[in-house]
Amino acid sequence: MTVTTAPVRRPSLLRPLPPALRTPRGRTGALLVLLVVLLGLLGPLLLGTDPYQQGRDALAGPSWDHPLGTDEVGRDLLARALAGVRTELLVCLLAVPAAAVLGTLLGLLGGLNRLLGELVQRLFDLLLGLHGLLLGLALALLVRPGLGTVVATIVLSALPSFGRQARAALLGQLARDHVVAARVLGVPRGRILRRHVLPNVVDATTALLAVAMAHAVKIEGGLSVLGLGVQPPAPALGAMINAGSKYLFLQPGYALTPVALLGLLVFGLTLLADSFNRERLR
Amino acid sequence: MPYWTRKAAGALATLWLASVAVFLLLRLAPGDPVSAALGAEADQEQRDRLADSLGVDRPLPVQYLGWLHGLLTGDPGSSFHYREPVTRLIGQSVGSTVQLALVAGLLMLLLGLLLGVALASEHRGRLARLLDPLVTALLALPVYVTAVLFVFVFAVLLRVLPAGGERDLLTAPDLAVQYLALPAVALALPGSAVLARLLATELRRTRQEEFVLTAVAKGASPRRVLARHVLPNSLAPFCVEFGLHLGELLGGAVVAEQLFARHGLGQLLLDAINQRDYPVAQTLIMLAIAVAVLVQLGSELLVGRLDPRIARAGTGEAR
Repeated sequence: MTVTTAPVRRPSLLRPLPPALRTPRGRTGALLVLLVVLLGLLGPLLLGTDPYQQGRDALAGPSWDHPLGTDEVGRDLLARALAGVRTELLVCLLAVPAAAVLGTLLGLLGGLNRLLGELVQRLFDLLLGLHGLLLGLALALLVRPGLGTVVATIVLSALPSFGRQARAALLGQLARDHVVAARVLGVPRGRILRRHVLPNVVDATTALLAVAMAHAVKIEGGLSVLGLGVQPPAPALGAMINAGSKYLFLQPGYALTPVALLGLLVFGLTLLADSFNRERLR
Repeated sequence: MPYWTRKAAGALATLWLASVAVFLLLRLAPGDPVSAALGAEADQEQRDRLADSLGVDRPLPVQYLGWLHGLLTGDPGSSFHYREPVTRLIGQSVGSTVQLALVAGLLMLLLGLLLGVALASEHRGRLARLLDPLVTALLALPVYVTAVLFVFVFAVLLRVLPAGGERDLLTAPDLAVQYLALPAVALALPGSAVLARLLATELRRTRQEEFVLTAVAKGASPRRVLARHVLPNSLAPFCVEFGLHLGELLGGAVVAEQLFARHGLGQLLLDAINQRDYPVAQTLIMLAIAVAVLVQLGSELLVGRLDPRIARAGTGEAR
């Protein structure tokens, strides 16, 4: 899609800094997210420790070799937590954009065919009724748990919000005078959708992206806590939280490190989502 | 069509769709359920006997109807793994989950109301300014994050509450409350933060309405204005959201049971999934959906009573 087709609208990405990021709330959120993302991307490079390397000293305390100590098979906790952040980011960056595109397209189907639109709405109702975690549990019954299952769960649970947003924009735009005029003039439906509806959807979707990211992190973490996420020995924050919660007395850093990283990421994303929403409602 | 029949029909339709989806889960799964139940080393006679008792050789619609009939009459079959009726397995662990969900649900309601009223308060002191980011944090942090933090603070550092386990609420209430406290609060917090925000927005809106100005002008005390005029007129969206979050609570309960070593339905479901025990898993997933749908229906009907305008909307009586 080219942004230039949108009439009299400066594309928001080209402004120096979106107004939502200028509020204290938005700035804090952006900084927190940036911090965790940078830790995930650069941390493993700077640290240089292999997160899979097992050692003889299990559950050892902090030392030069292992700044946060080791887990029950002697793997470096810091290296595993930072690698877990990478897994988290990978899952979210795969799933959320896919859900945004798919959901928006499904929502816009109603603009082409009324019956199709209604069918899609019922599908969304069902997905909403299942909530993220239950959906993941049902999917884990269908296929072996792993990266693909987690991504599928997040895509499916994020579809309805993007779809409904697109549909709301669609219904709102179709009633506008200029769209009615375009239809009277015989402009084909596909072109109306592209020129008049899609630009409005894209604008509203920014706020939703942040919300969906926060949800995605929570779902990935939750499934991983239950052992249904990315499978061991691959590092995942949720799996570390689950395993570490058994050693809270002995090795508090085991569970608290992933808890802190995941908590900061979700908190930052939620602050961002908030400030985008407030900016849009003003 | 009256409001309640419309809502009930919608709920029934969702339940039916869900039952078809959950039933198909078993048929779509890789490998046939007979191998899943018996494992690879079973001989042909065993396989035939099980196939016959499961009815997997009959056409799909017939199987579906049989399964649905079993669900509705309270006989959803036997567990592959434990060789026991699903109902008995559920009966053994339902108490633990119901206790947790009830206490967490009540806490969510109370905390949501209190935090919401506090958020919307007009006294913007130092504490009130701290409340806003606090509610955002509670809203953001998932159950497993708060759960681990709680265990670390209250069980490891302060040593005042147990880190995990459970006692029965009916036979040992004082101990049971200690074991319930951390999981229930951790489970309740995210939902209560969402509810609080929603209520605060609604309270601020209602406060602008003319009947509230009238009450203030007539000299009603702030407390009376809040309790008699503003709060009751702000509760409708709160109720709908509460219903939605009770459904979500079931998903969270699975995680809470895992982290707090409680043997409830969530652990039963998780074990069933890991052992490919389809009858148990299907029944539990269907049960969770049914509870969520029915709770939501209940909250929508309640809203219809609270605000008759909503019930009349769309029936042609409104305008």
